[in-house]
Amino acid sequence: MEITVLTTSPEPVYEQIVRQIQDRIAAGELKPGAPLPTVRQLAGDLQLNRNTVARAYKQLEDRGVILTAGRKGTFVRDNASHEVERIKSSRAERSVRHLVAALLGEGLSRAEIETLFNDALRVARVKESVP
Amino acid sequence: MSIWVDFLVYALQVLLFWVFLPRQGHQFTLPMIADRDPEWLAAHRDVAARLDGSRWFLNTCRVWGAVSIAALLAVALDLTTGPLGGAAAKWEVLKDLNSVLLMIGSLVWCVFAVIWFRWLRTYVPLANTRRATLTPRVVSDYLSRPWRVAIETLTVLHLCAWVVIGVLGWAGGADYWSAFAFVTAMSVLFKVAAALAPRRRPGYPDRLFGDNYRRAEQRVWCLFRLTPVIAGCMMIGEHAFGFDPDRVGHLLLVSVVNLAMLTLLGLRPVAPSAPSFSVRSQLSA
Repeated sequence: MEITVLTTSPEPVYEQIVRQIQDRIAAGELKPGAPLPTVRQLAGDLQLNRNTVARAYKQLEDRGVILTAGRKGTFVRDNASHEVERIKSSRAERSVRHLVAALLGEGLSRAEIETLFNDALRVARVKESVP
Repeated sequence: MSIWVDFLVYALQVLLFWVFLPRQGHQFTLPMIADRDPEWLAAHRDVAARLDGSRWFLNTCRVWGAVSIAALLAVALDLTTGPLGGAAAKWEVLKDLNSVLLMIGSLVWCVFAVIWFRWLRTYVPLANTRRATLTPRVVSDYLSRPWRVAIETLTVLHLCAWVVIGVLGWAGGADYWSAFAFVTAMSVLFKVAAALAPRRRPGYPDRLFGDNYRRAEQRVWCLFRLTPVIAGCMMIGEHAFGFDPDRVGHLLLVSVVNLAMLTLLGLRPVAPSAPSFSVRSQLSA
């Protein structure tokens, strides 16, 4: 199971690490209790500064996704998948709220926004169904 | 013991260090570049071809190997007493001569390595896309339990032997305890190095040899962890029982180093289709 980071991406590297670990947990590839590599190992493998990986792990720990048990290592928390789902939902909710607020600010009506959303969902469904 | 046993052990070391290892190492010049940035390699085919075709490092090593064997042979055949000779026994002259030749050669090798890695860091940038495994690496993945138990037991027994002999009064004094401190420090140092090895970032040899490389690396560290035990037993023999096991002990240490080198040389690529292997074909395309 690998992760890939792109140093030239506009998304900060530590956020790429956080996102990919969360994705692996959400996909069930990283099960509760699964050990994660040490900060040193991951930083070495990715040829990054240790602080970058430590920052990513700290964020995952603060979000309740992983648990650092001293010298024993770092593990995926038991309720990590729920936490990841909750984080994703709240992030999506925030994004939608921002978008709706922006569209209302542009002077669009509720009905127009609803139509736009329905159209966007229809397009997304079509894309999903295309192999 | 015949002087030719000493000569054969040292000659094997010379061949391993100055003929076989450089030859094995040379074929990884291009994969090392590809390991940093494959795109750079593809964009600088002329530089890569020049590096691949260069033989001066290999030839320098071979010349040094030939000089070393000639010097050892000259001492073994009594053609010379050696630059460090004098009144010393022939096995001791061979031992010292081999150590000096190995040290000089290793220093030159280190200079080459520093120049190569500086060049690599200066001219070949790290790739923008980097990959890493999310599976932690631990010693137990690469070294079976019996091996680990055997090494730990030997190390502990060896260190306990020092304490017991000192407490029983069979040996003692500042010399004895400073020697004990030295072997303890060496044991700890090699243990730490062996424990850190699994966390090393994977490089080009890992891609070429797969997990076998890390397994071999662990075995090499295992062998190196035996060296304080061997040296310690020699020192105990000398301090407590008045033995002079210098010759046998030194030959044993050199044999351990030779075994370690043979372990690395015994590695075979596991993925002939890996990117590293296709480097030459890409260049010639």
